[in-house]
Amino acid sequence: MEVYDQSFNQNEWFVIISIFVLFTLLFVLPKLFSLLETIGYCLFGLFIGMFSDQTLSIAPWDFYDVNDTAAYQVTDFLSYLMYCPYSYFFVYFYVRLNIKGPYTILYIVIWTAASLLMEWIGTKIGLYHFNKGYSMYWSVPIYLFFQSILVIYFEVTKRT
Amino acid sequence: MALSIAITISIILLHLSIFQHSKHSFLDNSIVFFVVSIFIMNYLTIIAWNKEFIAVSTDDSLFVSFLLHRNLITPLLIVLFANTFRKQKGVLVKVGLLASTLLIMYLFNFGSVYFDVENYKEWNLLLASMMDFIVLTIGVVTLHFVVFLKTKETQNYGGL
Repeated sequence: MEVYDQSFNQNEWFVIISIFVLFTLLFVLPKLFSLLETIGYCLFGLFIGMFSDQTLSIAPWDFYDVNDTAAYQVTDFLSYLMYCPYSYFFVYFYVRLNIKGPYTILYIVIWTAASLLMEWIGTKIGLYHFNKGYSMYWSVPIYLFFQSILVIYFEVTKRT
Repeated sequence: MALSIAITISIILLHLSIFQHSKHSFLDNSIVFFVVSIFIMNYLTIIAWNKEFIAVSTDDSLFVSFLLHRNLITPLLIVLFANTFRKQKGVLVKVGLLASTLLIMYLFNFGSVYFDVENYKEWNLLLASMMDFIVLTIGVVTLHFVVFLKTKETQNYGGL
């Protein structure tokens, strides 16, 4: 099993500080959704983060590893928790900025760019380790796809 | 053959989920789906890749069957079960429903082993059925909790 690092350093601090800051923002910002909607949007991010990582980062594909080792650790689970506020804020600003029609495409592209920036920071601090020629450009369609699904998820939950 | 069976079952379950007469909204059911999926992904990653109790096929088509079983078939079956379970009044009917759902899940596990999607090393069908029982319980408890939160939120909103 691949071991990249065994000390508590940048990547662990990045995860802990991100969770603290993002969840604080989630609770501090004015509420737009009901509690159940908030739970739904947060769980969407957690589910997608886990699904992507626990599909692409395991054998037979094994395109990348998360955090210090290839094995599943507590820090990995904590890093997935970061996705909760991300998906919440995605929907939050989508509603707040009253995004409609073709502007939705621009909104998704901007969030994809922001996600890529976060991923790039993640690779620099040892949060992600790419294997088998996987590169960040493969993440572009993944972000575009799941963020489009999140827009559809929001629209469907709003109507039913 | 495993992949074609998995796709067929997934489509049937998707149709059943879409057209079921549920008194719960899409949001309620999606929360159950996410919670159950997150639990299943975590426990399977731990037993398959950390503990190596089971070996998942490295063949691409069989691995996709595994993903369909993990992320679509089992969670959808549990969402359907939780909805039907809540609707039933009689204890006997509920026990019968639980037993038949466990039997269906047993057959899916058996199929996974039969078609070499999963290979049980330090695992067996009884342990797999026990985990199925746990995830079914999690599904029902989550749906109860969602209904409780919804009722509480409606009462609070009504009181303002």
